[in-house]
Amino acid sequence: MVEIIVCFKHVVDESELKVDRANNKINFEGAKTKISDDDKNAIEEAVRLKEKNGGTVIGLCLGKADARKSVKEALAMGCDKARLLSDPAFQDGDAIRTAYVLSQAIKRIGKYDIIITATGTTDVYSGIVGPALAEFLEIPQATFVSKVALAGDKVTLDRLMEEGVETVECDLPLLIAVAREINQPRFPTLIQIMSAGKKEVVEWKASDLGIEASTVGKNGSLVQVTSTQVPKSARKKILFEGSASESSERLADALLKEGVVN
Amino acid sequence: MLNYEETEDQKLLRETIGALAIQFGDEYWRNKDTSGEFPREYFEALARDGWFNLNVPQELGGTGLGMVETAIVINEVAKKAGMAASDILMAICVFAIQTIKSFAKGPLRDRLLQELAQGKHIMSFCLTEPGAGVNTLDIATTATKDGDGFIINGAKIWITLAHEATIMNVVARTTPKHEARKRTDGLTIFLVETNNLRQGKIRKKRIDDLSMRSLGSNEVFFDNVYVPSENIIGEHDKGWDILPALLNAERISTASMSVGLGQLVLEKACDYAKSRQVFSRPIGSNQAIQFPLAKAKTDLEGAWAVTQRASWEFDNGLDCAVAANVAAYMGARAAFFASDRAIQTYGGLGFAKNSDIERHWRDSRLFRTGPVPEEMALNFLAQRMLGLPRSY
Repeated sequence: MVEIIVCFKHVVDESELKVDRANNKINFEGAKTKISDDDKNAIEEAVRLKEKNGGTVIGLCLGKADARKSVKEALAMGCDKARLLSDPAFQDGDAIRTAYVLSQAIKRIGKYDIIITATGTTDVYSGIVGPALAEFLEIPQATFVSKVALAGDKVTLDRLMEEGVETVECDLPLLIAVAREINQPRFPTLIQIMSAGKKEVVEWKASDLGIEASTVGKNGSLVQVTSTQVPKSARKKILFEGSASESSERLADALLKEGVVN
Repeated sequence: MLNYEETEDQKLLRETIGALAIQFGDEYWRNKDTSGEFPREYFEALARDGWFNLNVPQELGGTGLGMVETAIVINEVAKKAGMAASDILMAICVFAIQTIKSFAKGPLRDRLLQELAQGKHIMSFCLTEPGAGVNTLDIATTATKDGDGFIINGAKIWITLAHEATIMNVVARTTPKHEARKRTDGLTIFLVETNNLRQGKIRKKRIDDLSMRSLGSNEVFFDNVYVPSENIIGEHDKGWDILPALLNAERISTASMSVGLGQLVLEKACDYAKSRQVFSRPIGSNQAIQFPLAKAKTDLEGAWAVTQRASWEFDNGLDCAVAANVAAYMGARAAFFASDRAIQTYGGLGFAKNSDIERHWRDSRLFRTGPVPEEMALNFLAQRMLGLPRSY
């Protein structure tokens, strides 16, 4: 039996974002939201570990009220219950403040063997929340994990390195930040979607976690996002003149040189 | 209280079925359309993830959802994968499950609902005939009493998926028209299990047709087909009485499909209009392109609003015939207009098979003619909504 807490983030669907070229800004208006893609890998791995070893999976999400949709999806994917950390005070915090809030919620949950996060989220991909969370909880951590095997109180993990795979062994409890290569997240079945609404979801605010509102969110963060801009990209236009055979040869050379074809 | 906002559950249904649908992309459906081959992999994925449980009663292991959710799911599939993908859901969830759960009886009902939910059946609705057209009371297929059952003889036409069907809802005349007590008496609906015929033969002849070619339409011939009495859907001689419920559900489904398909082609057309440069600017900056696309959007929005109303009325046991017919009519026209404008926006490329616009255009034409021609919907609406004399 293994007690797992899986953290996931409710993010804007990046494929829905529109770029306002005139002002060099991202237009978030009307964009749909979702569970961050890599967090679905984290949920999937948590559910697979539970299915193999028994136990429970608690989903933990920090987000606004509309994050309930993602919470429900996580429950449909197989989490047994969920905690939604929703308080205006939590919003727009940097990665460290986010990890701190998550750590306080995990301390309130109390019992756990494994905490699973993604290595990063699709909106900011700081890659900091998982490791920082482990530090706040003072437990070991393994990042870029592509395989998890649990045996008793020990867990064996494969970590994806730039060239190769590192295998490590660790005692429980620990935090695992998974790589997206670890699995293929499932589609919940219709029955799972409809039964998700019957599972326990508890919302916690800063006061429920003993957190002073001014120490978290935007006000408590050391990193402040001052603006978001879109990188400018200009199309390269090259005109090849001459006969068809000459210009096609030069075109082929240019494509090879630019690495478009090889 | 009026509320058009979809619930969290409904949004999640939409997102999850949408994610499944896009696993089967344009190339998959283009190949199936070209070959005329049944999209079995897609059908099995729907069954695997339990989507045929959608409106199966909870006591039989289903989710017991209603027409509102069915319409949402059908709409989202059409929006992500096109008409044929969503028509399969109508065949199973509406023609089969909705009909059987409402009007079949006894152990047959429960067994078939559970088997349907597991994806063990494909259903065809055998109503239209070469000699009767939309005048259902003129159908010539007969079912004559024989011991503890009936013998069906006759021919049907334009029967979608009949070549794959393991169960068929067959409308047949059980009392000759001139002997019926009421004009509308004498028709009976039978549930025929095609793989389990005690007697007789069902022949099918595929029609090489225009729309939804991966599902296919057929002529179907019933030669002395025996059906036990317990396979009657509804009551003997009273088939006409349950047809409206069946056909209203069908109208809501075709409206949902049409709107979804319209949304799909409109999105493609807008993307193309934004990126295609002629005279050094996107063609979408020309009002000649913009206005028709904006009109298509308004038509689709209107059709979907009426579809929501019709499905809500259906689930609340209200008479939804008017709203269902308005939705089907508006939806079919909106989808065709959107597809036609998508071709115009794409220009020559719209005629190329690998743009997929031509396939959607062919598919979008269907619901203006079948299952009910738009003129018949207008006949009905003129009578019901405007009090004009009955014309049919």
